[in-house]
Amino acid sequence: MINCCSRFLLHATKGVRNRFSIRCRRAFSPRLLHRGVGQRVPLSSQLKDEIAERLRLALGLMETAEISSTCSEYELRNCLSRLYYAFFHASIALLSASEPDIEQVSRNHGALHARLQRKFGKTVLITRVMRELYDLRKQCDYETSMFRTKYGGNIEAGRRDAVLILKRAKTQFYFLYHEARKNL
Amino acid sequence: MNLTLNQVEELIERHLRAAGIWDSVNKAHSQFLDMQDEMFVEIVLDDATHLEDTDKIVRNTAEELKAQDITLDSVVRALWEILDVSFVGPSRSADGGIRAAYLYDVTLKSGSRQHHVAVDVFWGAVEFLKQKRGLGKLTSKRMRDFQNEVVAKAVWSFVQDQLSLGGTSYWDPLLHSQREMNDAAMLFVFGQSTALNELWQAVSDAFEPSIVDSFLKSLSVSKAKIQDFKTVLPELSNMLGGAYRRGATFSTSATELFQKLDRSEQELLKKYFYARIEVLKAESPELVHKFSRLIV
Repeated sequence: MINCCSRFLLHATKGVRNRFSIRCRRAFSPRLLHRGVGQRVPLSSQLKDEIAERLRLALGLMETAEISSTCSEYELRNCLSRLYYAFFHASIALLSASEPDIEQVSRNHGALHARLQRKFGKTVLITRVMRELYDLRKQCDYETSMFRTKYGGNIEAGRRDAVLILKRAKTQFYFLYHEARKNL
Repeated sequence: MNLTLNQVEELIERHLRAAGIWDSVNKAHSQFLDMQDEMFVEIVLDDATHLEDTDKIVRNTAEELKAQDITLDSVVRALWEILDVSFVGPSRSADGGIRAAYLYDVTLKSGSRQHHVAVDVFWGAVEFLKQKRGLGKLTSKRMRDFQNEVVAKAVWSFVQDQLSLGGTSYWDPLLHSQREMNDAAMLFVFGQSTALNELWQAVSDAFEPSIVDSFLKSLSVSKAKIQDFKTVLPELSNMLGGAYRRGATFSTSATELFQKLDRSEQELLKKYFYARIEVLKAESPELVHKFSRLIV
């Protein structure tokens, strides 16, 4: 920001107050302050602590989301459910830095997904993964016949599928995690 | 709210159609979201020529909706592609002093609009890449050009990554046409291209003093031609492997890995291989003599 200010003054004194000054005004508008790559607003130490706490929880859930070659249907269900919540907490940690009402939003999964989609766009993989994991979590937590209908009761097929989901999700999770950590 | 999200979407579409811009809107990337207390619209254009007009239309629509007690938050951006990345020289600060960075010029294109972005790559980031890519041995003028090409490829990936973000995290190259690439950014970019890293390491390993003799021997036996990279490639499969992490993919075929690379990565890898042959010729004349049929 300081850099942008000094550049603005430099151009203004040279009488080049054309397009650049218009762009500067856009950059300074409050709506755009928290946006864009590399623009970060300093956070209070309390908020930083909250973000750090969320991230610890997210990482803990992610690290315990493991699939062993002998795990049962219930361990698989637990793992996939924890996987979603790892994303859930990492997303809240990330969004907390720019959205003051995120605690309230976090009570509504759909609203949280919309916030994430607003932050990263429609086509970015992370928003799709988040929604897919949410659907999967609901199946794992509530649908008694999920394994029977999805895998014909074949636990090995379920494990294979879950390993792939976990692998794909991990890359996205660490992206979220590291983006959120940049605020600390 | 008096209007639904669909109605707001239709309203914006109508305004953009009237201005002759709707055809430039990328429907797959654009989005309309109901955020409960407000609406959010992201208009993504295939042609940045219309950016200012679109921004104006969306802002006017937001004003129009404000009168109806509807808050419309918006992002208007364009999709950019990278046309070229070229090395300029040492980076200079506004007062003319030399910065601890190299300057790369990136040409971007969106529809019929072109734009230049300056990327400062810090010396530390370049050193990291040189170390990881084993470029320290390449010291001649031609080799330095090759080094710049390797860094340019990393800059390309860095800019590509920044351009891939949408929503409120998007990067507007028109607004922020100067970027900085530090060690962390280089580490991230480096970690993204696993296939290239594996093959690059395989080439480096093949030319290690303790291995190069047996590598050249294997090429002779298989009647590979060292100037024909395609015939050398299968022999590099022997150099793949290393520590096998749980859940990691174990690559065994250099040819298969090579197919995973994009064209620019393939060309870069080939150039690195030929550069290492040049170094070998200069540093190990006894090997050149021993394998004279192979190394011409």
